[in-house]
Amino acid sequence: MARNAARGNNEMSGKGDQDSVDSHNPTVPGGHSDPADSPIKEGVVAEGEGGTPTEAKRVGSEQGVTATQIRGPAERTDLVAQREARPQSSSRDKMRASRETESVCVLPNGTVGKPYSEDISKLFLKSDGIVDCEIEGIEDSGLILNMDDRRIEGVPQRAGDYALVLKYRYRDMIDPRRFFERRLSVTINPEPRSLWKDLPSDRNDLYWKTDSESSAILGEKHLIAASRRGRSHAHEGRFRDDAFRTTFLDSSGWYIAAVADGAGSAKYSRKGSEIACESVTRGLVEKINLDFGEPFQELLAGFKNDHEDIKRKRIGDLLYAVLGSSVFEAYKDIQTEAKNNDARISDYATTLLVALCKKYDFGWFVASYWVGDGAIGIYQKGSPIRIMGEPDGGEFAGQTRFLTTAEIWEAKEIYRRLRFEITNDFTALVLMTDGVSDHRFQTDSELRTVEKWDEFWNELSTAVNFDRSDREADKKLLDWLDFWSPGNHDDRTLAILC
Amino acid sequence: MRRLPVYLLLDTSGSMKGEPIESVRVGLQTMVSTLRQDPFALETVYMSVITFDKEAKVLTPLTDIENFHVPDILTPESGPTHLGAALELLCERVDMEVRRNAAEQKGDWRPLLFVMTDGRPSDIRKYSEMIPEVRRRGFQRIVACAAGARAREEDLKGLTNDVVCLDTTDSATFKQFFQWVSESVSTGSVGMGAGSGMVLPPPPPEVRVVT
Repeated sequence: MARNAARGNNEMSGKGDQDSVDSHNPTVPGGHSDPADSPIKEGVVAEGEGGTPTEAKRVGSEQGVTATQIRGPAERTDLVAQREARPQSSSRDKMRASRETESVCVLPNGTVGKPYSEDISKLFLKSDGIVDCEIEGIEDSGLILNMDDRRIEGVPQRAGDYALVLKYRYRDMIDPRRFFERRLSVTINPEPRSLWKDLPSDRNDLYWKTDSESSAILGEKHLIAASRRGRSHAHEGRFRDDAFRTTFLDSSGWYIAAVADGAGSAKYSRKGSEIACESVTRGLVEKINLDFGEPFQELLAGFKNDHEDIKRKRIGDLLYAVLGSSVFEAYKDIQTEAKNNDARISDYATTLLVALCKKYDFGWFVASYWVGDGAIGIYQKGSPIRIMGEPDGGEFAGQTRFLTTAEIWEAKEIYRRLRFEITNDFTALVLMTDGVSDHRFQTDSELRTVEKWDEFWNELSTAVNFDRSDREADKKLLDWLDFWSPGNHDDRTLAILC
Repeated sequence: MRRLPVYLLLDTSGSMKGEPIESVRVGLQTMVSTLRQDPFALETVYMSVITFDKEAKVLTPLTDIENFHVPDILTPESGPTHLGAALELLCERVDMEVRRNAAEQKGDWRPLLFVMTDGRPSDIRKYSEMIPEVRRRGFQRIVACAAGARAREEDLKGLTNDVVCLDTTDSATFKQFFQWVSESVSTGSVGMGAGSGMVLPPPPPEVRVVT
């Protein structure tokens, strides 16, 4: 980053320091212009032209900013005024600069593209009668000095650390060659978006996969899904760790959706998430038609009429046999892959969120299994949101459980993660990885707040037309997933049945 | 948004006076400028500077990189090195500033800690007492740096396994050190954005890893 050259003109300011500041306060070294060389002096007392002492006191603000505040009345000394013409630069070598204080005033940082406006009226010892005010070193930043409002303002154009020198005179200064100068510094941050790179991932890698994918299954309800590589991965040319699979079984009317988020710390997690989605879907396709036939339908219908515990338990047992064991098969498949590739199963660590759904006469049946972060929710406009489990979160961000963790395979743990609902209808059944849920729902409590879901759904259904049989719906969903959210740049995957 | 809190504990005892502390300040300046160029760090990293000599002081509370200003660092003429007191202050600050996941609150990424000293802790008893306390604060990584000939690596080994060593306290060496720290923070922040843990990048020749 370029330092701007306007920092201190020793030749010019040195003499002035000698003349005015030093003579009153011998502790201030003359001619020091670089803040790195010159520790800031506290309570430098400078005198105005008319001999009225004014006090400048340095204070440290909460943010560690070295701000300078002027304390005490800045008495206007009514001497001769308005007789000095603006000095010509050719006569500058004869001019004498003084500093009202030695300290460098550090202005708050700005950011490229973000409007900036900072009041600098406090920098002047006297509030009135400032003439010939100019600033050096600001040109490249895109900021300007607005002396009408005593502000430094504008929309910053170029990032960098700028050293500025403010030069000004008071109208009542007798000697036309004298002026004050004040050193300031301001840092302009780059616009974060401009810094992100989009590097391709290595196509020759054993487990390469596309940076994004999407799919749409259109029917009575549409099953739309999309997944895209996060900026944090794109920035380093790494792979998308998220995956999804969606299926509709024509013969039986079952919808199946699976999304998974491979752990960033695990080297083959992109494959883990892929296997998880594929295997669980395959297992479900095999078992659903066998086990979820007529008797299952009667059981569900019975439960709908009467929420008996015994019926709940029987449904739970059947889900365990169908969904629980399909998930376990996914685990076994990952284990096999790890063995074949001479790796550890934890190298394939992934979350997994699965939902299956079918319409019966008595309503929609939705069942789910969920391990890790992200979310599964049944959203019905105007009704409370139904979240199909608990996100596995730790004390800090990024701590979660994975499909590849051995302890989730105790029967009790499997049951805990299975959920089902029978509902007359719903606006959308949504499965998402934490790349989406982290941004949309900041906390677990927000995840259970229907207003947050209303906002989410309004935004989503504006961007993607789910009502009509829009052939481009999945592409639009993929575009929507590119939303900008500071600090949230993980892979993002959404599967929606609506 | 999830933040990545980074705590810097810097020795400002009398022996750091002059070139060493000036070099630290310049190094810190370079580090912040580097982090500003990293999109993930710019959005996620929150940094705090705590100094210690005969007393421990928060020079900069946890502040995002966008608004961060490198503070002025002052050193006394001489006096003890109260690293223990600094760790105690650190624990207080972490409890106050770092967010943990809760129903109503989004947790931060696990914080990082970098400690730099050119001597040995004068309050050795307090120092030993504070080590388990620091451990309880959930730091994902603690890097301790023994700078110069007087620093004792063994003392720092109690605090963390990641001890590095600088042979001199001149500006070139500190520059390398802080560059390495900013690389570490960058890797950490990008890694965490992708949900992975933190791997320290290989240090430059001036920064020797103590094994």
